[in-house]
Amino acid sequence: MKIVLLLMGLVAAVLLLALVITFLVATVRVFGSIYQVARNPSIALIAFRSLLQHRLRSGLLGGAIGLVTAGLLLVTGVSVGINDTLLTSATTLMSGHINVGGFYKVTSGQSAPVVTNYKKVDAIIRREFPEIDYIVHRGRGWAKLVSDTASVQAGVGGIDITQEAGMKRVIVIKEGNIDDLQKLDAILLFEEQAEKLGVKVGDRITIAAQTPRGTNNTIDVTVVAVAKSIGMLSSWNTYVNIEQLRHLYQLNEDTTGALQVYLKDIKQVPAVRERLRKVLSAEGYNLLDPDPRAFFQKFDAVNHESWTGQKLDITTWEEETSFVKWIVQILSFFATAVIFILVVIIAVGIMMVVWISIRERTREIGTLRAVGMQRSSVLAMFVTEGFLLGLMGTLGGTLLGLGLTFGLNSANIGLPKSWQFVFMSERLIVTPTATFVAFGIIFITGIITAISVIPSFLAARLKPISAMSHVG
Amino acid sequence: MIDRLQMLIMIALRNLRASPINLIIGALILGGTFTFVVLGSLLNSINASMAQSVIGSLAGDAQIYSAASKDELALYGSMGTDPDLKNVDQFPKIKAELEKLENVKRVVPMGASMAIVTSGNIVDLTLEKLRNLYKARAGEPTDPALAALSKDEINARITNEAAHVRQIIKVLQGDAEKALKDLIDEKSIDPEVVNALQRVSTDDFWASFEQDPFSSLEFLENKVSPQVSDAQMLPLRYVGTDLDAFQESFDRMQIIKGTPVPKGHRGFLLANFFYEDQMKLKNARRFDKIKEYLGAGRTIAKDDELTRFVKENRSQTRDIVLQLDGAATVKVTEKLQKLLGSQESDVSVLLGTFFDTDDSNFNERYDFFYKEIAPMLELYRVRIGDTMTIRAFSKSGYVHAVNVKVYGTFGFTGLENSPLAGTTNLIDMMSFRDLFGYLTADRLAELKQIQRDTGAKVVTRENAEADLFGGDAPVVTEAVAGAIDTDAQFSGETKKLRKEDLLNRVYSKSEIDDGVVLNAAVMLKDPDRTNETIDRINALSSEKNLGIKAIGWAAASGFLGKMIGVFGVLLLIGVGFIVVIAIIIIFGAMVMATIQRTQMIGTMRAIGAQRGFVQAMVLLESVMLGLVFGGAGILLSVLFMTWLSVFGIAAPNDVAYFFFSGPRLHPHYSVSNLVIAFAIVQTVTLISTLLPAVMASRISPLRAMQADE
Repeated sequence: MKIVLLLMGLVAAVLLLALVITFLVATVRVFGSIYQVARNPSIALIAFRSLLQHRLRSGLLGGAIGLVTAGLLLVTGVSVGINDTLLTSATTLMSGHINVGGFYKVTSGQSAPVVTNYKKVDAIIRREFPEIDYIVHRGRGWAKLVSDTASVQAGVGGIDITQEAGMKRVIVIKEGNIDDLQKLDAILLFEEQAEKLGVKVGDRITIAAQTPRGTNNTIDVTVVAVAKSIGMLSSWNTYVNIEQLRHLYQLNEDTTGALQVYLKDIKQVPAVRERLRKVLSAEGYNLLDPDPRAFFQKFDAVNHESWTGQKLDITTWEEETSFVKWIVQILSFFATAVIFILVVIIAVGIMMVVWISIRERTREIGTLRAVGMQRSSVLAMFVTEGFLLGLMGTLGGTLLGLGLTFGLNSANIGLPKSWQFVFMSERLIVTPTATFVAFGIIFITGIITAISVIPSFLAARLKPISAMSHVG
Repeated sequence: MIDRLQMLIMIALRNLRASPINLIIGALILGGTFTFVVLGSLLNSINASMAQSVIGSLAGDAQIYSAASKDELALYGSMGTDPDLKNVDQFPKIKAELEKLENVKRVVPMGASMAIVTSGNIVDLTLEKLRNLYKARAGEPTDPALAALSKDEINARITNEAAHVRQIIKVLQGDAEKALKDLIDEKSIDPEVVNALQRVSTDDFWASFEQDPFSSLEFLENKVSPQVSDAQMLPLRYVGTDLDAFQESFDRMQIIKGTPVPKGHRGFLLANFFYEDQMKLKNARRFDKIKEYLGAGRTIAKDDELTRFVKENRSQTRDIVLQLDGAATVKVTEKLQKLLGSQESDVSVLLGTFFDTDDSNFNERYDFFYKEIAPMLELYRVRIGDTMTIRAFSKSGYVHAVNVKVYGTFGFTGLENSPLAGTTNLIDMMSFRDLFGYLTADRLAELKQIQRDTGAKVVTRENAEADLFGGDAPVVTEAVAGAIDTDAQFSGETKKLRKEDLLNRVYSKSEIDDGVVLNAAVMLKDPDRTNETIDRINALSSEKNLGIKAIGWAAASGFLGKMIGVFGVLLLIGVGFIVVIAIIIIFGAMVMATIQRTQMIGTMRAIGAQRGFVQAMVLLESVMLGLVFGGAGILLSVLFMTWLSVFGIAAPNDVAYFFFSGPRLHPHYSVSNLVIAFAIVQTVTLISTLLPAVMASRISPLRAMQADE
């Protein structure tokens, strides 16, 4: 067993080494070729003409390269789309860019996701962090909603709608008025929950939950608004007036679930988070150790720690959505594997095409060499052929991909339910980004150019005399 | 004819060797065949072992549920909540009808929901100890270990425990007061609670404790303990079922601790994984896990997860310290001092040092823990054999509570460590209906009793007005304000629910079946004909108006099955795309190969080869190519798969146990995998040769021979 493994390891290592060396050599040759072409642009012209001359071959391979580029564009577009939807829905529904949440433990075995004396925390953050765009505070709850005909278990967020500018921007109201959440006994549902509960705007529902002291409490609320779903996360969330949520959990005025901090620039998240930790501990707050999970996954750990009282927990939006991240990861793994296989196939294709091109033009090469063309120029000629084919193919593919993206987005394809879970969204969203377009073009053209070095090497090594006498 | 074929084959073989392009195409064919076989077999194997997991642990061969349900059945819940299912009406009739079908072996009723268990309240546990001591002193010991003690010893222990209780209450009260200031809305506090807390904090209360210990204990248990609760609320998912039928039907299920629930009794079986993972003392659980992972070759020094475990063990000794009473603390302190060679007298510091394990001392400390410390601790929050109170939100939003005895824990062979298979607990059908807020035989009897007692009569819709407001019936009763006599109110079955005897009642099969059922597992005699039987059941349902829907394991497993479906489709799209690109490339290569041989083909045509012959030659060449390289690909993949199935693929994490149906997946290839992969690749090759073959046959001999290249 061990010997087999060792042997396999050895073979893999040798293969890997060979591959690395090939690529190093190829890269050097590619740069050499660039130099040659720069010195003598007619090389590029010859390469281009030769491509034009063999339309069928160039067209086929160029088409294949184009399809793969378009595929790459679509796959990355879908993955960016998923991430964007996740970001928008997460930062609207359940998280700020950064959250200052925390747990209050009445006894060491029981915790509530509450920040006490939050106004002071809020003031400190506003004072110390000019990077902040705005802060909202939200109550965190998990309760049973009961209508006349049905019941669902869902997250109940407590909000102060007058502060929720961001939320009002993103949430699309289907029925009712979101501003009615100012009323004490109001609730906002998403269409999926409203449908499940069989309620419309104006209907009453009961919310039942367990308070931090272990007793059960219920409140009655009126549905004031039904919103359109925004991604999968919205099926977990409902909103009530934060005052009402405090009544449900029998909490006092100066408590909230979490301060959701929105930054002007989301790229500053890691830096601000670090400084927040420093500032808040300097102010005498106890902080939980960083734990990259959503707050509701932490109860078990927190309940077994021996402290009581308040501890704050500073998290990012990515951590709060980590429980769905694995789906995105599987998806990207899968996409990478498919793209990898495709790139291998077209690499084989390009080797073949350049190699055939060389065989066909052996006599031509011989003549060119005989009239004084350098080996490096011959190599540069064929590498340029590969490069041009790759470039044209990827450019065409990018156009095709962008067209498809546009078509798919305007077709507004609704996804079936099980697909919504994987794609985090109600409909298929493809978001092409300049980065990935550039990446697709450079990556595929680069690989194709590098691969074309291998057969081109053979061409450059031909001796003029044998090349000229070559028949067929 | 034979001669011609022979010649064709010879030419094709020669061409194969002659052109390096063929090597490239061959490599593609070989790689393609290999990839398709391996991917296909792996997917099939995972699918099969998942089917095994789902069918063997909960679903059965097929599931039925009410066709009128709002949601689809999802046995493992969907997004944290259970689907909204309508009850299956007339389950006994449906069961009888289904069991008449020839392939149906048995129908097992079910229903799933979430509940909350509160457990591990240190105050309650200590009070119970104290009560046992008082009982022993009064001459009626409940614990045989206490019976042997002398009066003095008991008195000493009582003093010890009472001090312990007072200490705990004082600490918890302090916490509660702090919370009142920071967290809790004052208006929601009941003045009676404040009074009770004040009373226990006075010395008078403790001084007079001895005068009437039992009523003092009762006061602590009822009025104080709930206010200073240290209990943990543990969410728990359970499936109510006919436990006897379940045990007989799911043969991978085995009792791991304790005993099965006796026939027809109410009872609870905890999933062993859940019991270990959620109910065991966390430090002990982490010790077990470290031991397991070290056995798998991981080390504390290099593994982040293990390092975290050690860190948590070091900092979370509170659960242990709280469990130790005075005498035990002294003993543990001595033992730890000896082991660690330390003079430290604070037991929590000692425990912290003890749990700071590394790779060299772990095994020694693990053995020491289970030999010396564990016997003094309650390792699990719920003991097997205890009665546990389960509370659940019923469908209507009210909280129902049921007391039920925990008989034991169970697991499924191969899935012992799988979180997915190991978090669903089992409860008897009667308790399930109580918790879910449905009418049970007991409740029905109670209702009838109340109806008789109060003389209530059915008011129909048509006569409602007349019955309720009209007529000259005498006033039934006047509302009178006054104290409620709880004993008189809770007569009948509700009172019985609070008593032990309900737990010992034996229910008949028809009582278990006759009532609300949310879904049911259908076990088949021949599982290979599952799809056919599902169709039969659905047909039967519409024919006899049973109002049920039958589905297979994948659909029943809810989002799990759907996810597998989605990824399957995505894989198909990926494979489809790869096939298209491969066709283009192979096609290109074939065209090139044909063009290259223009001269040769022209010559052949000139010396009398027919167009058909040339076509056949090119096609045969690609067939040969496909056969040779495809065959090599098949051979290679068979070798690889055999190697995989012998050594197996270790599950990368706990979650994967479920998909692998055990800790290792031993994938198998089936002949169909080979045939399908081979067929796909051959078709691809053949399709991409069609045009080049035609092209080749169109070559005119004259031009071909004149051509320079």
